[in-house]
Order: sequence, then C-alpha cells, then structure tokens
Amino acid sequence: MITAISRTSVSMRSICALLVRPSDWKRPLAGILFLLLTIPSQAAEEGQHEFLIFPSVEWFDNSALDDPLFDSAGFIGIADLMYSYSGNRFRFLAEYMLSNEESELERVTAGWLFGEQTMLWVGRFHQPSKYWGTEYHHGQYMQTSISRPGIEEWEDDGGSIPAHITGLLLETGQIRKDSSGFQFAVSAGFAPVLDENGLEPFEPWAPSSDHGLALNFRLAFLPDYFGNNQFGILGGWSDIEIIDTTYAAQLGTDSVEQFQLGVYADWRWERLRIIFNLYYLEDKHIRPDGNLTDNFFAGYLQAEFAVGSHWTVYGRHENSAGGDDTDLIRLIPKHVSHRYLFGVRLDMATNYALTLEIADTETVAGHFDQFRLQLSAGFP
Amino acid sequence: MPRLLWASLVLSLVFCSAPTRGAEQVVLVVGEDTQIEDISSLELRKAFFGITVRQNNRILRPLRNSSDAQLNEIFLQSVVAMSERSYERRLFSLALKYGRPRPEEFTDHDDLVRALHEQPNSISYMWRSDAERSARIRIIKLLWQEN
Repeated sequence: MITAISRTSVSMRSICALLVRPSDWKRPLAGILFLLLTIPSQAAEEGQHEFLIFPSVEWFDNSALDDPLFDSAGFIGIADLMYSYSGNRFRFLAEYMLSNEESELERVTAGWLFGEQTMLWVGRFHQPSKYWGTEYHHGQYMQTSISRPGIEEWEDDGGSIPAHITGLLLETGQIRKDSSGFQFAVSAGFAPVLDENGLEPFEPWAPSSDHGLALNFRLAFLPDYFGNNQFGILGGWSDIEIIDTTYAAQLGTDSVEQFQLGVYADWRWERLRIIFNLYYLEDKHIRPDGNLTDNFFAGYLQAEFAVGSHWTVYGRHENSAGGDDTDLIRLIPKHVSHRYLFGVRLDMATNYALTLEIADTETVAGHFDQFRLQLSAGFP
Repeated sequence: MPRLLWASLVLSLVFCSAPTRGAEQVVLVVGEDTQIEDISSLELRKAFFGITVRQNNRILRPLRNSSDAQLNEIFLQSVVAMSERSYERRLFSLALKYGRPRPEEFTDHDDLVRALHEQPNSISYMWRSDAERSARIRIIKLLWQEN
C-alpha cells in the first residue's frame, strides 16, 4: 500500500513539474495523465474504455487564388484520436488531432454524471451552439462532406464564432415514453481572443488573463431519441478581446461582444438528408465614444442523397449575407462569405470512405475554386 | 415492388440458412448473482445505445451476442429497431460525441456466459435453448418468439 502511494506521489510530482514548466509541448500530455490519475479508484472497478481513431488523407487544389494565406495545392494527412473512460459516475474524454500541419489537444474534459442523463463536464470542449462541431468534432470520416460550412469552421480555419471553450458544460436529456425526447446543453467558459491570426481559443496549458466570457446553449427535439433526426435552437454570447494592437486601433475598441441566435435541423427522409442552419449574428464594439453594432445572417443548407447502399451525392450552399461588410469579419480573411459545392462519397468496406468535392468559394481574402479528394476512415 | 421481393428473398435466405431450432425464443439473460428482476423495453434500448441505466445503483452493462447471424438480426429488429449499419454508426457517433462506451461484443457463447457471470450488472440476449443449457446465468424475460 505504502509502495503504491509513494509511486503515485512520484508520478504526480513529475506530472506537476511538467504542467508548470513554461512552453513545453508535453503539457497537454501531462494534463491527460494528471486527469487519468485523478480517476477515483472506486470507479476503476467498473470502468470502460473507448479508443477511436479517425485517419484521413487528402489532396486539394485551390485554383485561381493568389493569397499567401491559402496553399494553392497540397496534401493533408490527419489522425484524430479520441479516448474516453467511463466509470460509475465519472467520465473522462480527450480528443487529440495530429496532422502534417498542426497537432493539438482539441478536447479534454472530466465529467460527473448526475442521475442517468445529466452530465457536468469541466475542461476544454466544443461549445454546444455550433451543431456541426458537436456532431462530428474532428472525426472527418463521420461527416459526409470533406469541408465543413464556413460558419461552423474551427477558429484557426477562418471560424468567426468561437468553437473551443474552456470552462463548464452541462448536457442533459429527457426521453419520453414514445421514445421521442429533448436534449439540452449549456456552457460557460473562456472565449477566444482575436489576434493577428483570427480567433485564438483559450489554452488551459498556456493560460492568460485576456480571455472574456462565453455563454452558449442548444435545445434539440428528437422524434426518436435514439435516431439522428433532430431540430432545435442554438445561441450564444461571447466577449471577444482584441489583443492585436493594430486590429484594436482599426476597430477603435479592444473588445467585441458577439451575440448569436439560430435554428437548425438535421433530417432524413428515406434516402434524402437535409442539414440546415441559420444564425442571426450581432457584433457590438464596445467604444468609449459610443458602441457600434454590426449584424448579419449566416447559414447553410446541405442536401445529401444516397444512391444504392454505398454512394452519396451531396451539395451545399452557404451564405453569410453582409458578414464581410462587418468590421470584425473583415479581420478574418479565411471567413467564407459564399460557397456552392458539390460532392460524391463512396463508402467502401465497413469503415472507409472516398470523397470527391468541388467548390466555388468566396472568402474575405478572395474568390477561388477548390477541388478536394479525400480518403477517410474510422476505427475500430 | 421488386425491392420488396428482394428483401423477402434475402430475409428468407438468412432465416432458412440458420440451424433449425423449432419454435425458438430469444431471451434476456443476466449472471446468476445479478440482482435484476425486470428491465423495460425502453431501458433495454437505452442500455444498448450506451445511455446510462441504473439497477441497484449500478450501471447496466450491455453485452452484444454476435455468435449467430439470425440472433443478431432479431436483436437489431426487436431491441434497437435499426439496421446494422445505422446502429454501428450511431454507436460510433455517440462514443465520439459523449465518450459513451459501446457494448462489448462476443462471438463465442462460452465467453459471453463467462462475462455475464464475472461482470456485475451485465445483460445480454441469447436463444432460450442456449440459455437453458448454460449454467451460471438466469433468464429475465422473453424478447422475441417465433410465430
């Protein structure tokens, strides 16, 4: 017993040392180990583990685009790794994405189950008012299209709505006797800041005091709680601090309050599937000489049609009408203002898919056509 | 109409190719020491989708019996009410979204019986004839019966 305690103390000490050492790449890893060691031993008796891998390889070509922000053509290889531990009431979840361009701990949360369906999470998570992000996370294989809609993009890919929040997330659900049900999620935590690269989420392993508050929610109705069809409302409010001094001077403020409210639906009829999302967005610039408010609508409609048991053809239209005329969005060059795309996906074997996608895209930085070919998979 | 004919043909082939068991029944089973008396259809469905269901303050642990294609087909129709592909994909998605563990899968009957006995609050399903032949497990309820 004494040996076990002393072993734990030694490993906890080494992990704490890793956590406090500045700018160390081992920090995310240490964070995971630290949380794993805090799993109650009582729960370990009944614990279950899940480990998923979502690898993908992609070749893309962005024609007629002359902007250093975008590669004209290239190759992307990604491995998204998800691990979870479920005890009697305790749950731990971590998602790590590795690619030839970046590697990042995307989610790391520890949760406690109250009753049968209410989970309180603490950590870094994907906030609930972005439907796409909380449905597919970084699992490329799980989404039919290669690209995600511009309004659903991650912060470092031109996203203009915060996606990664560090704080508290409450998820709950209610199943009715007829198997229909409601799901509700609400979160509060640190919002991203705006720097020279666009929105930058709060990093738990490199904390700074510049981050404001973000509040988000989603309420969904599911006609069959166990199925995929659902519709609902989603919304949020974020206090985005402008830490880039040039941008702050341009905007005449060092803080923008972003408010969003939207409706969404994900519905299947036999072979047809429709994913729809429409947001109203308002950016309030907090200025000493009087606040300035910009507002616009942003949304997308994706239609998918299954042909036979292996093929799916799909198309999507995205529009953020007026978004690129607003002061905040103009500072996010990768923000997609309009896009038409068409794609074909072939589901091969059990867990492989080959997808081809062509898109006509208008961003704040410019207009271009895009061709993408991707092989994605999900294991085990 | 041709689609219906094909579906009937495929189903008949699946069911006819399995060993003949007379008027068979599929039953819900637990380990002999497990203190579970009844589980509703909704609770059962929840458990096999990874949603927490508690009995005696412990979480039910669903175990999939994949030892027999016909049994699997009956499970998909009677318990989860989904095609195999939709069910597998849904489990995958729920694991990614919420970290919900997917039910452990057994292709060997003896391994399944051992797991039912050793893992507290685990539940599974099997042919009644197999359940009655196996020691250390207990039948809870009837899930399906051949007409």
